[in-house]
Amino acid sequence: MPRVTSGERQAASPPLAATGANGARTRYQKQAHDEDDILSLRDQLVNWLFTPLYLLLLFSTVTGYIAALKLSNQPYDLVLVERARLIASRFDQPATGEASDGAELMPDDFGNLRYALFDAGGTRLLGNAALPRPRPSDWSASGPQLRDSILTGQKVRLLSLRFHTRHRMPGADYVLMLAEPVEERLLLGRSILANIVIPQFIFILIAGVAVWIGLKRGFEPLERLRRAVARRRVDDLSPLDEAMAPAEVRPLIGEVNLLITRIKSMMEQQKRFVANAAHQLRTPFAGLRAQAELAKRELDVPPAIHTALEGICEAAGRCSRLVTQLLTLARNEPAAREGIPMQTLDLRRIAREAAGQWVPEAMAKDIDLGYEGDNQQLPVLGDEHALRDLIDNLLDNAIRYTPAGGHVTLRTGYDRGAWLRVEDDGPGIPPAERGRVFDRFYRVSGSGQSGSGLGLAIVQEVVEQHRAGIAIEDTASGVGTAFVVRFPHHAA
Amino acid sequence: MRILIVEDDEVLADSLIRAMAAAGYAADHVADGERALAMLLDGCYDLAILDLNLPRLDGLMVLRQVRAARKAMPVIILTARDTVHDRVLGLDLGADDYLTKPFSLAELEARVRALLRRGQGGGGTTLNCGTLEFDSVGRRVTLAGEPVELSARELAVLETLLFRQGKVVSKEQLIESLCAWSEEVTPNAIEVYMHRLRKKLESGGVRIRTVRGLGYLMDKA
Repeated sequence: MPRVTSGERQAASPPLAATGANGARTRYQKQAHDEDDILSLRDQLVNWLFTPLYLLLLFSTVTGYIAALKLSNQPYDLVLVERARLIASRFDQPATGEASDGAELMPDDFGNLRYALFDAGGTRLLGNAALPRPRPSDWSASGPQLRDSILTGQKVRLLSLRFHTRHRMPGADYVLMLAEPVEERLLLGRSILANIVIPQFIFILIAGVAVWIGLKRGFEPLERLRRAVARRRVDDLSPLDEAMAPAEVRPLIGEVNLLITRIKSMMEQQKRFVANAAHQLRTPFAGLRAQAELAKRELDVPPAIHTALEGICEAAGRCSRLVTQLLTLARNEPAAREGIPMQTLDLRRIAREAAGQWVPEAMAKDIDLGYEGDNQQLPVLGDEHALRDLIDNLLDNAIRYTPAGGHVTLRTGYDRGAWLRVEDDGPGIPPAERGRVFDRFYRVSGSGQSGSGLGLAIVQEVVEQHRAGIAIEDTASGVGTAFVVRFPHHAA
Repeated sequence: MRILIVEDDEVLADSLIRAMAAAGYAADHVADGERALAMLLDGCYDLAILDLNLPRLDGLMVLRQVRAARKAMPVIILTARDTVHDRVLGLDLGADDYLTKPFSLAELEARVRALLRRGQGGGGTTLNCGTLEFDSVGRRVTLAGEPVELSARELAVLETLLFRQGKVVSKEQLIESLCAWSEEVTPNAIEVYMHRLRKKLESGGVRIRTVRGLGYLMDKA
């Protein structure tokens, strides 16, 4: 594909015909689709690093929560047992006569603790009616029993303590039930949990940022490689620089380079084939043309056959031109130009020589071909034959598309670099088509001319060889077309 | 006038033979390099039209050996090779002209005529354009048979234009043609000579055109 890249050229050109634009869109969509299917290496690494990390965080949060609850229970349970023993010992004080209602058993600072006392028969002697009866296991246990329970809709820690009285009723068994709401324990548990989880979360966050930065830096060589590839001209088939790539990617680059080499040799083969084919066509076309010209000269040729012969001559002439243009194009393609040295040349001299040679052709068409420029040398770094191909094709184009009586002017000058301008007062090129006239075999619609469609493609190749730029501009008079080629500055 | 046509493409060769015969030349034809060399060395041809891609012996080798044998007949190379390198090589080896295929028959005929005229010796001293005749030895100019009075400098300018008739001649080239005179010639002086020449020649079917920014061109009106 084409270079100034064809991408830029297309971008600069006005909206394309519907089919062309659609084609481009589907191509981009397809690309996007492919990228969805295959995760990038970075995404894969991120997934593989962060999924286990987050699972670990989750696991450690759960275990931390369990541990926190357990830790927060321990001190509260110890206090609860102490209090149970205190209540039990108060109950066992030597009898004062009256059976107490139990209120004096509870010190004031026991707060929201509720209790109940059962005798061996299971009868509730004292205390809160909401507390459940002891389980059979509570009667057989030797120490305090602790469990979680719910009393009147409230989560509580429930303690049962079996004890003997020595004073009040020597030898009798009682069970004391104590219920303490769990809010405080939960508060402690949550605060322990927060102290575990928040640092962990921050730690993982920092690890994530570190990994992300590390990946980004690690992938930098790949990104550089990508940019280097993206910057390439479409027809640049030189191998990629393996030194740019990290060790892991180098074998891949090696394979890509092998592929590039194969593609290059295939393309060269194909170009040689086109050039050879064009070459081989020259002699038969010469024969065809010469025979038709001879036949036309016969005096007694009937008019119909004369017309036919004219047509054959015309067609043979066009074929010849096409073949010549194909060869010129092949000669100016980058592969064919390797090793041809660039020299300091005087653009003014070349332009004047070229224009001079087109004067007879222009006169035959009654076109006024002229040159305008200073009397100064215009140094450019270039190849003379290629520059002649460039100017010849611009002039040929202008003369071909300018009607009889018109003017074609070649100008040269200097403005931050030598420039060359071919101006005609022909029908002009509609702005919508200007971006495409450099495409091979493209012809401006409705021009009715028999151009090869390769002239401006040749011009484009030469422009690129010389790192010059080409633009189609309006003429000062607003009529016709101006092709302007601007060369980079070159000091002679 | 005998012309040898060396061309291995039958159709093209046939048209060349017929064109040369129609122009009044005796034309022989060979299709391979070895026979071409033998015939050019033995026969007395006035001109050869030589293809380069030939069986058995390449056209350039034929040319080299013909010139090595001091045969001086004009040779027109007719070839599909069109790089500048090929052209320079052909001319260096002693070709007198070089035509790239495909070409117009009329152009080939014109070049054959020009080369034969030059080869005749003395024939080249008269230059024609329309009814204008220029005897470059006697330095005399006639227009439709009538002598025209021209100054020496006007003659020099006219000679340069006539030599390259149908082609653009730049002012620089014209100034150069006058450099034999010691005093400096300015571009303005050239315009003065042109003006006078046009006046004196306008009746004779000869035209000197000014080409914008490039110079002058002389052709038949």
